[in-house]
Amino acid sequence: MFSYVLRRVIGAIPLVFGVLTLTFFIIRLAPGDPASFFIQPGVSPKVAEQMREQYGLNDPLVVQYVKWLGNVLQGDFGRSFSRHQPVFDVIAEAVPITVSLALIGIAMQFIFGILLGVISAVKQGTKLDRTLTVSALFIYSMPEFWLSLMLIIVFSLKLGWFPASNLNSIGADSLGTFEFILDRLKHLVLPIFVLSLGGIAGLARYVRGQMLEVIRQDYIRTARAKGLNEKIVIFKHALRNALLPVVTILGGSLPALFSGALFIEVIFAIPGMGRIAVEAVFARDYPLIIANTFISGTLIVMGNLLADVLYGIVDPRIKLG
Amino acid sequence: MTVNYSRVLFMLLMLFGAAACQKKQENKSQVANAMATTLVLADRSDVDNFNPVISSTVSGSTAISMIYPGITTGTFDTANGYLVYEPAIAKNWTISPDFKSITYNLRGDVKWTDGAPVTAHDFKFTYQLYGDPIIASARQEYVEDLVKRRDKNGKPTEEVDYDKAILAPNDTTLIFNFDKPVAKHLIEFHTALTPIPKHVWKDVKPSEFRASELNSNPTVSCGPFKFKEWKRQQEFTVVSNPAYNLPSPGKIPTVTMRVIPEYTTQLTQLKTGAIDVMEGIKPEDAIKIEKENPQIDIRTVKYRTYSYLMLSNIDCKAYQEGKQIKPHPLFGTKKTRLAIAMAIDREKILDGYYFGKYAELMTSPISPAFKWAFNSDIKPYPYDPKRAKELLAEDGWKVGSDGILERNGVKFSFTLMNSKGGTAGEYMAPIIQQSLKELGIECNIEVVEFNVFVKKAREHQLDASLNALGVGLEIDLASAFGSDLNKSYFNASGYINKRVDELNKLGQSKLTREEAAPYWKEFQQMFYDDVPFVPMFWSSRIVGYNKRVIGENPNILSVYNDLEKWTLSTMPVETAVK
Repeated sequence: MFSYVLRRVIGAIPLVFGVLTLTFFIIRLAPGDPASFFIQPGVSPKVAEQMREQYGLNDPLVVQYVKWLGNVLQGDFGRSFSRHQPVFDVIAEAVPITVSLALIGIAMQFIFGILLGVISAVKQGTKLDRTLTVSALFIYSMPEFWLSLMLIIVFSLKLGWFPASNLNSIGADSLGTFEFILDRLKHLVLPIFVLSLGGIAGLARYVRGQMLEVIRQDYIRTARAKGLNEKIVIFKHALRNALLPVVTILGGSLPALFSGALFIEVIFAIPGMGRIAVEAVFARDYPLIIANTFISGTLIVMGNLLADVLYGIVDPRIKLG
Repeated sequence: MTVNYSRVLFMLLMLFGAAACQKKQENKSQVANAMATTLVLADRSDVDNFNPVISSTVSGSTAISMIYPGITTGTFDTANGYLVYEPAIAKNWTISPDFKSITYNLRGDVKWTDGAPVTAHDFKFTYQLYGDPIIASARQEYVEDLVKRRDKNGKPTEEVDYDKAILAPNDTTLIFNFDKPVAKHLIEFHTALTPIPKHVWKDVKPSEFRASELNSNPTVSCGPFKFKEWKRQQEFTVVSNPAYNLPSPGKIPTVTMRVIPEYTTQLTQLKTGAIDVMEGIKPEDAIKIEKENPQIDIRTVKYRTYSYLMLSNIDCKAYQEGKQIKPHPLFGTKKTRLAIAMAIDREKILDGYYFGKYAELMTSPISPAFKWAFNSDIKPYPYDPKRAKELLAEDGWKVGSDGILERNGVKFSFTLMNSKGGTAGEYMAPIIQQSLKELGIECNIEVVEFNVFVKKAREHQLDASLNALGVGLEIDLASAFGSDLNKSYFNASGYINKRVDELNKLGQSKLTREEAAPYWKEFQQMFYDDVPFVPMFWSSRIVGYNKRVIGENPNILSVYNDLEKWTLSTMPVETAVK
């Protein structure tokens, strides 16, 4: 197992570098550059030129690449052009926010997704099942952007239950820890709702499918024939087995955990990784875009590895090596 | 003894519940108290830094104006439409009779927040930073007229000679010297840059200037407010600076500016009272707020932004191939451009999008707010589709077999480019398309991302587009109308008229506004005659203020004008900073 993981990790290094190299060149193909921000009415055209010189954008592309590669190999991803900070400082500020958001979101997804999936499977073919199926498909195909705005209008503007943006109320710093967390949670209700809703719907469909397969197995019939309580049959015998492949989905959730929810963070004014990514692209902030790609690229690779390892662990039929 | 666990648990829960309720009440009042004494502003993007030398965002300027002082205070004389300067750190000032020098007498009693006095040396030091090419300040143009270093032959070089250009003979005397006479208002404008404390910054090398920690943590400042904290991408907070004496500290104890990038979210927060001020409200929302939200005051600021239908005067293809200047095959003549101007019912857009009150028809690129220079004799092009047809016929356009106009085998068909997110443009484009269709002109609408749009416009790749441009407080036509297309970044139409260059120089070189005004008026007449593009609207900046804000006085300079004098009706009397 260990040698398998090691081999995969070593194999991932050139892959991540390949992704970064591609990103390096592709973003430079996009029209505009970071210095074009300084081309504004009333600002001397000299400024953009001086900034380009400082950013090293006047060097030939190959020279820029070699310099960049040299720095990256030493672990230096440079400074953000738009935020004038080392890129990893920018990311370090955003990661805790994104991770806490995503962890709660994933927990919600798994709790409600599994619950609804089981209900749907157990009540297969009933009105309840059909309602859940249709709702799941409806929610799954709803654009997050639109849903977020609707929730803001209903729950913030009309009902006034939840705040529409930011992480805390004005003056929250003076609250005690417990109250501060409560205030934070109140601000996170709407974004987490949007963030997890699509996942819940998807997962519910997946769990339903798995459960239906498992329920038809002989050992479930045996359990029922033994006269076991239906709850025990479903939750102890069926669900446990149905969940095995679901666990591996966790691996796939890892990149989402760190790379943030692009639109949700923008709409709800949450300063996480998603917003950094969006703003970096619009500002053509090359170092920040590359650092972001590095983080999400690495996580996708790690996530896939984790998924494979989890497969091996939960299903003894699969041998890694 | 047997213990009834469920009873114990119930009692514990009751106790906990009661405590929680009490605590909740306390917390609620804590948050409410904080809100009552905090002015909450909002911006769509975060502050870039708190350093006046290198900040180049609007939110940055707003923050800086709260925590840094000015040598003078600029106010806008709405009757005449120009900036006038009032004493601030400078008690008074004199301009030499040859208009080549200004001497400021500074107050000696203004202090930085660490107690050190603000002196003439701070200004001299900061101006050197503004002019340093390594620092690359966006305001370096302001120092360009100062006395230059001489070469061996005594000819001025490009480099400012700070030893001669800015003199600080003592702490309270500051002298700026120029190589040539400069108009009074431009001298005052160019010497009003914000200072930073020399004693704090003197050891920071220019090459490390932009990376300095001080940019994000300006602990030493001197404004009606002082810096408290900056949570990046979330908010920054300033508090009233009790030591400020120009003339007095900010009255509201705390001001927070929150970053809310999404328009609808920000609007919701304004309506729910979570933020107090929002700028850039769309006309349709302003109308709704006026009807449905009595707690919000809608105010407008006129006019710093105009929109126009850009029609390339030059052949884009020829320009791409070796920068050749040839007339555009469709829009190369005045007559055709005028025909298009007369074919568009701009009143309809004015009523439909701006509700007839948040914009006015544009006649020229000089803002009607600059009354001293604005040529009010010029009237907007009339809406006259019949005359438009005649003009097109006079210009050689004939209806082709498919109903589309043709001239010398060239079909009158083009793409109207629009940038994503420009709501006014999204509204205008289909109306323009329809108006032109009635003339037999085929107009296809295309929308692209903003950066792509700007690049294409700047490189003259667009035949036609819907553009918007902001104007500075002092008139300068160079960047939008200069005939050197390599330098005039905003001359998207490729309008080339050497007389405009001359008028710009003449207007700027005259020593008084009275002398300069005729040149600006001549430019407007020339613009009207040449139709370099189709002028659309001067639009107001629409701002919403929660009614608990008292004393707001938005003007062309800022929607946060006189912020230090504002109060909140929710502030308990004792919390107001005297």
